[in-house]
Amino acid sequence: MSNLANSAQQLHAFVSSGTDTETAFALFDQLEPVSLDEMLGQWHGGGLPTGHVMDGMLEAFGWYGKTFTDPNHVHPLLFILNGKLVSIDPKWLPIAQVSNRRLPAQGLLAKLSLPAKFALKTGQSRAQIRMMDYRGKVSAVMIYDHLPIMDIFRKVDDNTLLGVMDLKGMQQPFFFVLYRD
Amino acid sequence: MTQFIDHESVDHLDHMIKTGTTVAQALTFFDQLAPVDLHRVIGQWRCIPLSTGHPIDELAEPFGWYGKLFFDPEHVYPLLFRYQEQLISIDPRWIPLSWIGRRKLPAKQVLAAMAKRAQFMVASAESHARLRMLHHRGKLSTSIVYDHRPIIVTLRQVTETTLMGLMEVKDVDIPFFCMMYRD
Repeated sequence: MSNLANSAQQLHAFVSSGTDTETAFALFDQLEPVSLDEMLGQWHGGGLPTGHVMDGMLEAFGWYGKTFTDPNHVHPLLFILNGKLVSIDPKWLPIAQVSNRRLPAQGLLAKLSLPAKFALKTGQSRAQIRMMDYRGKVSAVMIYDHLPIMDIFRKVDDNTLLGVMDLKGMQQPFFFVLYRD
Repeated sequence: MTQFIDHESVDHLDHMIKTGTTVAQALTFFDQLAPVDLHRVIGQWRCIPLSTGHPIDELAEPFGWYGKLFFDPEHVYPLLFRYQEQLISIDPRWIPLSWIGRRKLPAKQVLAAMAKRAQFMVASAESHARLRMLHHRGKLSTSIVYDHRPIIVTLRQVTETTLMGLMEVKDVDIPFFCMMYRD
């Protein structure tokens, strides 16, 4: 079996049955870098469970994916609201509060569903992408405008990316997958 | 001391620092500089804006901006200010982004008065940026990525103890430059 098919199969297994941080990084490290051009467009996404406090959080919240319009204009949080895709300002999500606390899952989700009701549609982009050296490879990274968050991407295949979220102060990184629309 | 640029370039730089320059000339100079590795910038740096004729370049002095402290890649203090014989770190969120890119700013005296008050309110022990190796303008070099502002400062090496910083703010089409001298 080719490396590519092998990686894709591994990813699929991780997404459906979960894994741990170390195993997820082992897959991440063997993947090829992704360029800025390859990032452009709209992607839908989902979490990759690794026993992280954020596991299931974005899905529970109705996160759809991300749109990369150009390197300086990225919409990191597309949600489906009333059947429409809207871009949400990340400041309405208590992601930054996740870092040092272990909130009980139920409590966390209750907290999360609150801002959704008042979610503001934002026309403004809330992130940028650059090429960054991370774990030995230079690959695309999404840098949030107003939060200390960087999402680093590697390529599983042309239409599938593995992302790792590096939130300042958060010990355990959060993994997620993007699929090209 | 290792000289990363030739004598002619040193003279040219000295001249630009003394008399100011244009954005185009500053960029040309910046682009010829060597990249700098993340682990070589750890420490405290005194910063002086390289003026390209923009009002923001004149802010550093009245505000008492001293420089930057890179404690480690995760803990960067991009705005060290002099205050009562001490250096304190300011949260960049307190500096209005709307000023950047403006052609006219409040009078210097007004700004200085505001700065004095601001320093009381916003001095904090929290760091406000991180260091990463970013690929920009053809080279992979240390960059300061602000935590809560869409600001990236790309660093390049001038000498062992001198760096040049290129500050870019999202959706502001003029870049800003500063010279950094190791303490």
